[in-house]
Amino acid sequence: MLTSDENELLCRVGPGTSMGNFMREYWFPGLKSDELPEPDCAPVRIKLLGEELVAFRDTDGHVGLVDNYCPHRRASLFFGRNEECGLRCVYHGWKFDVNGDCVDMPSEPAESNFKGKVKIKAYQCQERNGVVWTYMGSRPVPPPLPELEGNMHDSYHITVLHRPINWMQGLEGEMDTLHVTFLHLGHLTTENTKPGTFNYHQAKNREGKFDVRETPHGTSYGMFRATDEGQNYWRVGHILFPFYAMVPGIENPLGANAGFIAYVPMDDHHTLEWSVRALKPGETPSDQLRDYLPNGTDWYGRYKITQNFANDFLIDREAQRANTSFTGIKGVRQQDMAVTESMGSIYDRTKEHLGTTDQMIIRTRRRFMAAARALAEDGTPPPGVDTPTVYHQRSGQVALAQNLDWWEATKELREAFNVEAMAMETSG
Amino acid sequence: MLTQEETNLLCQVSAGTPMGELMRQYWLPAAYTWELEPDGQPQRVKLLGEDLLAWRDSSGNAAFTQNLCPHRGAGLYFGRNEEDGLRCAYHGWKFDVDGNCVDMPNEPSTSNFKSKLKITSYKGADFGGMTWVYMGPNQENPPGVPQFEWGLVPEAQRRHYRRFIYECNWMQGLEGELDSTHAPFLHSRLNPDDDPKYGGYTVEKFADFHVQNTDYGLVYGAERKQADGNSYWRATHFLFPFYGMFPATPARVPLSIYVPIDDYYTMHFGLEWHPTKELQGNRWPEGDLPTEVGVLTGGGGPWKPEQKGTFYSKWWPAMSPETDFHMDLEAKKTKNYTGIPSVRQQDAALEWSMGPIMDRTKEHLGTADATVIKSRRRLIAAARAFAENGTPPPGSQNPELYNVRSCSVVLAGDQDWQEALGDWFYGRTTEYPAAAGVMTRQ
Repeated sequence: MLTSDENELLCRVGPGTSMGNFMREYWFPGLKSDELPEPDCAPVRIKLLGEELVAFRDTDGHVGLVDNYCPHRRASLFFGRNEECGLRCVYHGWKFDVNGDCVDMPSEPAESNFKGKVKIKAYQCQERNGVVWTYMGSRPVPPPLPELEGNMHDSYHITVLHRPINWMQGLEGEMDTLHVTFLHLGHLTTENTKPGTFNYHQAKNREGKFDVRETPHGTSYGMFRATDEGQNYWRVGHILFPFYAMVPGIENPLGANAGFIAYVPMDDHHTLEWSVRALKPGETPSDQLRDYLPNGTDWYGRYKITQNFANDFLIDREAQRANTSFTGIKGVRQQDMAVTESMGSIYDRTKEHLGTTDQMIIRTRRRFMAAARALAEDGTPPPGVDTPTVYHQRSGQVALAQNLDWWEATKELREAFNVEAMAMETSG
Repeated sequence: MLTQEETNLLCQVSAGTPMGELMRQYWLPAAYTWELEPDGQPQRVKLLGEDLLAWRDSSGNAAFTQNLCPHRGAGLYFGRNEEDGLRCAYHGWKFDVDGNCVDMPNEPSTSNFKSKLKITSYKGADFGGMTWVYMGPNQENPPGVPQFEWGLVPEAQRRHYRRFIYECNWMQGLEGELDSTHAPFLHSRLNPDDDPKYGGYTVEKFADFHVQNTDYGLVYGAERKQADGNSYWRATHFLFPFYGMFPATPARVPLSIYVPIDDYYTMHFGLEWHPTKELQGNRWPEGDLPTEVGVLTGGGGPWKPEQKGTFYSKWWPAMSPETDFHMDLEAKKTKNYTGIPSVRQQDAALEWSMGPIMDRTKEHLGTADATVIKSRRRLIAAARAFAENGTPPPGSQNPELYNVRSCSVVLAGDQDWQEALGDWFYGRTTEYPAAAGVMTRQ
């Protein structure tokens, strides 16, 4: 349970908020490279941390991310002309480059130096394997990009999903790994799973015990249950500053996959959830059972799917009753969406009742709030900002002898940060 | 005219407000009984500003419980209604109709966390084809469900024929019900010689109002003196806290209900019954509109496609401000007063047009508004008396008082209306009051 003030601190990310300033110190995914498919293509409306921006790719291929509003009379640059290395406002022809400099002001007298005094807000962008990373922070020289392995292989798979909820609500779902046993796998029994598999362990024993660690990248958990074979079945996952998660998944062995999830806030009530992972050699990404709607151009028009709150996520109560699916909702992520959206867009944490299995949520919130306060009050640099290697982690499931310390025992698998290593595991 | 403070007191119904606390002393009709099947899909409902789920457990008990799971605040709407409880689909926590947490499978089996936890749950009851909820403090020993006659007669003698959400405060709906002189205008046809299918027609637009306080609210008669010396009486009741009746005919007795969803939305139910005769027609609301221009329907529909994700998702009316309430300008010119093809939506159009909560500091009430004025005074006084002294509001402890009927009849000019109508009003006879003459009304 949080106080109302703590809930505000944790969730609000607009300009000037503690958590918003904290996030701005990190590079994070702003949009997909293929949203700007070619030089001088149409600009895209982008909302990030409560700021309304326009992204464009200039004639030289550089990505610009600038204020939506022309500084002249505040018309939207979305309607602008993307031409000759700059975005030109269609209202009076003012033109800005990717750095935000006003490079043409044809409505003013030629002798005017007004142009030299006007700048538009522009954020630095860097592209890496399909992701346009952006830096909205205070440093004139930004820190390095985080070494998130899922975005460091040239063979990759990226999905983005519109979530009409606060970013933290999505991220908390990734901390709370025991819900998988119910929400996603509540239909499993020891009869319809194969003994010895991870799913069998989940069906056999629905209770879990957590061990939570505070780490340089944020927090990590191991959740364990005893197996029939006298081992412990562990689910290992991480939360990484400022809004990344690596989760154990379903039937996913620890160390076999490199990827991450990012809950990038559009504003306090809307989030784009990114899933970015490296593909194994020869792998074709599987169908995620999502039917995407065509992207629209409005602020919230990107990456929506057909199943949503307004159609009850197409819940099938017959399937729920027959327990072919615990929820009757198609798709693991859509099941998450149903429950997290049903809390309201910013859920009231003064009314919750957290138990022992929620300690990852409790510890992570505290860590995040403390880090945001430390920056706001003492200027303490956000954890990991200057140390991109803290992101060298993997998540997954593993069975270990009961006498082992899981954190030490899994170090090699967790930190197997290597393209070749991944390829070998797959081929072996 | 009311002050702003009085308006707030009258209209606001959230927990902790005087009127909200008054409302919580009564049973509230919340759903049709058939909408809640044992182990069926929970329904989103909202009452007095509280988001709840209505559902029925395996044993058939109606439940009204808080919408959000107390664990991590997820909606129990997506939950599994099974084995006498509603189980959250997120982590499997399960609650029974009394709000007890009966299973918490994600916590260690040695934990006693479960026994410390209860969710908000309100008593439910089935009566008269409706499922009712009592949201008051006395959950252990609630008062009886109001004993309306329509709940006591065989099913074939009642029709639940109208239901939809009003997009305005509950009192605006109720005031419309109590305001007898709007009918000869709003609901009328243009040409007295035309067929009544285009609307009613009353020669005498003016009425004398006779209003009297009762233990359950008000009884009142609108008297229209006729040229022949007789009087045409439309006599009926206001019953605490939100029931109105337009006048009965020998064929049927109607009741209108305005349950506050919150301060800005209202669930309206309309039904009718007869003390002895079976009624013809649909048992539950149906949605068709007349195809002929200018003809009016008395039904409740049609409705918008199901508005999933919202409360009472199936009961949002298609006739609404977005469609100008289907106002037909040709019908308005040639057939009826508004061009709106449904009697009840004619009311809704005018009541909603006042805004979500009408600004009563700016109104100008006349003599024809006597029942509106008196019912407000009763409600305000009762809410204050309950808040200040704990005085039980009228009727809340006396379910038997609700066995009343209304009437429309021509009486002789010298007849005392209450004496002439009393036996019928209070169920002491099933004989409709005898008319002393003919109505000069077409």
